[in-house]
Amino acid sequence: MAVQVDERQSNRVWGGAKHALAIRTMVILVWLIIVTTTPYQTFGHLPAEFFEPKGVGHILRWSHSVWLALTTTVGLTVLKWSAVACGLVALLSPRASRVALPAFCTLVVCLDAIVKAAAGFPNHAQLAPLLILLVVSIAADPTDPSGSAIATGPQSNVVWLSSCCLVIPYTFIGVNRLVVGGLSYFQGDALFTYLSGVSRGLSTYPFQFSPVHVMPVLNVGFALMTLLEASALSLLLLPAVRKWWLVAMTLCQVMIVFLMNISFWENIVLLWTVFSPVWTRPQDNAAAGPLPGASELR
Amino acid sequence: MTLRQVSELYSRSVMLIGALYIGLAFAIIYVASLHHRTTPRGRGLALVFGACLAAGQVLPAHPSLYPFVAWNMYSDPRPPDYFIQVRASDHGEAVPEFRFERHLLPFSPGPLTGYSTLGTITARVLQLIGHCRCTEMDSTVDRAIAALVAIHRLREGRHVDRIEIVEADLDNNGRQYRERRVYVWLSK
Repeated sequence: MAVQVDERQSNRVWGGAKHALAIRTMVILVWLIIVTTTPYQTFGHLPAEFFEPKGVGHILRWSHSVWLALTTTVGLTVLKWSAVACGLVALLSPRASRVALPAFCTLVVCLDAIVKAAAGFPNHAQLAPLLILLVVSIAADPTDPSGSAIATGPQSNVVWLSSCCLVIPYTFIGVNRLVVGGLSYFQGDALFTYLSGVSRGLSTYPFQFSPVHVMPVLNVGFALMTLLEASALSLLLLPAVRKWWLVAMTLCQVMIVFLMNISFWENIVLLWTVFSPVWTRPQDNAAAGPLPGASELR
Repeated sequence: MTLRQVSELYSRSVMLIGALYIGLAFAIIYVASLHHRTTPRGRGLALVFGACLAAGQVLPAHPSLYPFVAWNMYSDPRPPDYFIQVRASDHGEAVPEFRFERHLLPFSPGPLTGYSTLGTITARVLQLIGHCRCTEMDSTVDRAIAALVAIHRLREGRHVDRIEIVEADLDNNGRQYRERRVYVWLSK
């Protein structure tokens, strides 16, 4: 019985191979959903002047003819379904994923670059998933045959870099809001003005906003959310609060769906995958006794 | 030093902003590394990612840094007191619920429409209008809007012969507004 418990715990060790595999699987799934549900081929109807590449998109535009070919309906359709095929292979065949995962990552980066070239501002909901996809493609050897539950170098890299890709942006949002606006942001009608503009302007938004015109409640809620974002480092420092941080952030994101008509579902899925309470560090489980091979951890 | 003084100092100093975000990024990376066995490759990647994320935060308008961009949503305590509306009509009859994004994204109008690039197509059209500094008859803007209208017709079968983009002021309660014309497109 004790051996079974140890085995189960060793499978759930923070930074272990199973943890890295879960992150890798989930980020591929997230991007497969995004790629399959986005009608990239529609962008092929837009005129060439509409596209203004950003970042890596400049590399694609190095050759004007290549860029023109990629932004046609045919080019985008080929890119999309090639990405889906590579993603499925990377997901289902660990052996073939040595080639399929970098190919999937490259195709996703290309599709993302083309869509963002036709966009007026970056879609923050997809930035952390993009960075984590880069991490799992670059930082680890996905075909590591050891299957070790104990943290090994490359597998552990995936976990700690993915956690950084989530914690750093959340911290930046919270700190930026506190330092730029200070407390004045939460004392006036700034948030209400933002929401009024969003609800009347760009979005298809049938939700009636006037009933929630209760500024003190909005401001207190937004202040709490900002504190939550600024305290994202607690996900790494305090395992005991990890579960409550995740629950609170998930509730905040559900509220945002109704108030702002935007959803960060990708980030929530990845937050729960990376920081789920099922992943435990041996030092957090001192009462359960040392795990096999735990001494290999620093 | 009060938070207000820190805020004023921050808004004046790019160096301070840079130091703050690079320090934060590297501190988080260091804390994260304490719980993992790292490799030189992982440490190198972490330093590059941390530096790029901080650079994106300091230089938010630099397009070459994408996907390392500023994480500064809803940060300005003085938000814009106007909003943009796109109004479509066919032979003088309003085409309700016309949105540029709706024709590019796979979502029908409904309560939970946005899980992708909501508003970004309209924002891109506004950028093109900003480049031409005009309110009508620009060939680039006209071709872009004509393409979006054609996509609308392709997907929904509805014809549109006039698009008017207006900027409308919000009052203190966010309910009443005046409006200014930003651009008008007429089908040829």
